[in-house]
Amino acid sequence: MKKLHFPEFNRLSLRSKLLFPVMGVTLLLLLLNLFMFLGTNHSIRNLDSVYESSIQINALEEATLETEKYFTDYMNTRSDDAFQHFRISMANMKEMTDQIQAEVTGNPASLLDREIFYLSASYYAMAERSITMKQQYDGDYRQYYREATNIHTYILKTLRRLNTLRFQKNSIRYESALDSLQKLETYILVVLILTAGMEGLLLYDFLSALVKPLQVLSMKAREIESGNMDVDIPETTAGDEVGVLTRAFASMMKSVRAGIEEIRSSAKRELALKEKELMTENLLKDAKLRYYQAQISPHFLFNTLNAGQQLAMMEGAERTYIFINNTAEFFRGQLHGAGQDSTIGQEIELIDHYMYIMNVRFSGEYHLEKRIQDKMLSVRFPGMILQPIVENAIHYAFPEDEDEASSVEQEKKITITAVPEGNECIVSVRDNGVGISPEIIHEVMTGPIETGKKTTRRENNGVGLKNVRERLRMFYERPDVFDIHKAEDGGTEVTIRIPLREE
Amino acid sequence: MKRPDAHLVRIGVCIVLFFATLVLSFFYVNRIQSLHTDPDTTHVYRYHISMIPSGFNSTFWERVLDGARAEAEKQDAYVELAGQGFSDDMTETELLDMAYYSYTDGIILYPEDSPDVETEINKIVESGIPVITVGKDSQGSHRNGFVGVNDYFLGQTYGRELEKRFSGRGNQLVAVLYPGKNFNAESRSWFMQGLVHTVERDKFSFGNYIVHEEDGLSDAENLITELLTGDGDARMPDIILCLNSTISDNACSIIADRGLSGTISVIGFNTSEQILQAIRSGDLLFTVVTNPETLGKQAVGEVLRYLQYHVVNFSTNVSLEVLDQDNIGQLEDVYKSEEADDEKTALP
Repeated sequence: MKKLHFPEFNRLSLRSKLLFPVMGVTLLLLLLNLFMFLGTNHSIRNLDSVYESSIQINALEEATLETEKYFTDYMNTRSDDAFQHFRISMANMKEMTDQIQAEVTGNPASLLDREIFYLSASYYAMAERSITMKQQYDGDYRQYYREATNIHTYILKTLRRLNTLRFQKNSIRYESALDSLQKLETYILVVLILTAGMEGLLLYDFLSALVKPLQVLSMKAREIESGNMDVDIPETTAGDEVGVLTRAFASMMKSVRAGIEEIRSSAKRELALKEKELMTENLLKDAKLRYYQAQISPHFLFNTLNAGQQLAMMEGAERTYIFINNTAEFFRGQLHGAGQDSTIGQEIELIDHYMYIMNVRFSGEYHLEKRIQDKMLSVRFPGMILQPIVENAIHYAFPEDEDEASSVEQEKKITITAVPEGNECIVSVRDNGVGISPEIIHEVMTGPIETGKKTTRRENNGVGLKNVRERLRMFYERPDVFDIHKAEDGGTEVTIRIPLREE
Repeated sequence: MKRPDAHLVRIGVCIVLFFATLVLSFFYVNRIQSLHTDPDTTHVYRYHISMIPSGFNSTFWERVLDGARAEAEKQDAYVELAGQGFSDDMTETELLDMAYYSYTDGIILYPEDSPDVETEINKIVESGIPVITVGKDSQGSHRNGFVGVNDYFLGQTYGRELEKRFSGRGNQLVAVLYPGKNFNAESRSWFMQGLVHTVERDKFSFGNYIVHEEDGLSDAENLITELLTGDGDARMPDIILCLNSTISDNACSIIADRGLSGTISVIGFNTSEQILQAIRSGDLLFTVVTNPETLGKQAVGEVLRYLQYHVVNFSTNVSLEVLDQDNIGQLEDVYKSEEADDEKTALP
């Protein structure tokens, strides 16, 4: 069904569009009301005027009686007062009778009007003549007086007859007018109700059509609110505020979708970038390691160490044999742990080998204490974590320089613990060395990993620990997995919190 | 074919209905308002004629008025029934006086036998207002003209009927009953002359009786009963000739009650429902009628002729008709009347 369009109407503002049907309906109702009011008003005026004629007849009758009274008074007394009153009352009566239509028609009432008019004229003439003759002392005035009186009687009788006739007619007219007024009232009521109903429907129809685009827009807004960004905003050519709003809304949604798409793309790119960066770093590390590993061919290293072990055995140098064995095991462990998962047990083993080497180097200065629950030994752990920490402790907790020589004259002790705590395993490496400053703690915990920069060991404080920190965070995907703090007894403690998996 | 938008169709229907309501309302309100308008107020007549009849509650005079008005309408005149509806009864003199002082153009009058009436008629005639007497004349006045039934001609009409119906039956005794109010001595004389001069002397004998009326009651019944019972050697009349409808009604009833319908013939004057019924049943032989509309028509004609040409017939005779069983079917509707009335014969 094709809809008819009115471009001119479409361009009007919402206010104008709303005003148009409301004003139209109001105007129509006003017209109808006005018309009905005029009709009712006319009927009411008819009602009011119904007995007007009776009132006029009564007034004329009174004037006639008054005139006759003063006429008789004067004829009896010749008083000036009576004469004056007679003149006044006759003038008054004449004024009323002059308004009577003295035409011959078929209407009985108008015939009586005619009679009254002419009888009154005869009465005035007869009364004047009688008065004139009286004033002239002519004795015949009595005859004219009698005639005037007779005419006066005829006038009264005619007036009463006319009054009766008019009253009968007026009563019928009154009843008829009242009845028609009542019917008119009912008719008006019915018409008004029907018209109001009709115009109410018209208005509802019109306003529904105006409001529909707004409802559609509201519905779409709700959909968007609920999360559906793919709503289709219908096109509109309306020039009103709703049309403007709809087009603006559609444009906004288009922009929002574009923005979301842009953000998605950007996030994807960033993620990809980050992944690449990490991969690069890993590869770099891997490359470094491989580089280092490449520099020392494992076969050559182990063959060399084997040869050394054999030599030691041949020479009966048992301690040398053990030392070379530990060294071989250590390097084997390092190579194995680089880039691969390990267990706590394996890390401890590596540390054992490392400590043996260190103790040989430093004449058994270092004491390693292990408090590890058996169950914890098999807990998954990334490789090359604990050894660097221990190495770090040996190097920095117990400085070689006399200046930095600690006042620690006690045994150089490193304690490694691994105990369960809730659903975590707390691995701790604690030394009783010089401790660690807050600045270094901060640097270790938050500082970036610097690569490619040659530093002295002193200058390179915590580089290994940063690597350990980052690898632990990446492995376990939690920022609080690694912690370093000054121990209670003045040393340094590194704590690793490992989530225990249910096996 | 494309279907129109339902929305626009609804709007269109509503607007059409609304304007239809407006138009209907306009006509309805107009109609209601027109109920209050008095009819017949538009035409103004040139002449005004007053009619003073013998009594107002009379079908006969209503029909006289109808005839008068119909004739007056043709010549732009209106006939008013003077004094109708007045609560106080006015005398004929007063009605004449009132007509005179209200400048009527002409008067149609059924005159009472009164010197005051005659004086009043003279006064009016002298002022130039024509006075035409109808039904009954006022011979002592200077009336301009008379329209009615001539007593002599009335007598002749009855004489012709008597000759036609009763000759060859031997001498017939005819009792003529006159309504005293309408037939004075002169009227009776003229009537009898007309009657006697029309019939053969040997065939008919006539007795004249006057029916008096007092306080509205007629002594016709007593008189007729006396006639029928006989007075000494007086024989019962063969024919009772009643010269008004009241007497006719009485005679029919008494004759019928006594079972004398075949023995005594009753003849009437003018009509009433009872007379018409009596004719149908054969209780009344015939009646002589005047057409009241013709009476009214001719009276108005005389008034208007005077007004227009200042000439008038001194006496205009209204034609008479005989109504009997043979022609009652044709003329019944014309002469139908609801009640008895005292119609008049006129003095010549």
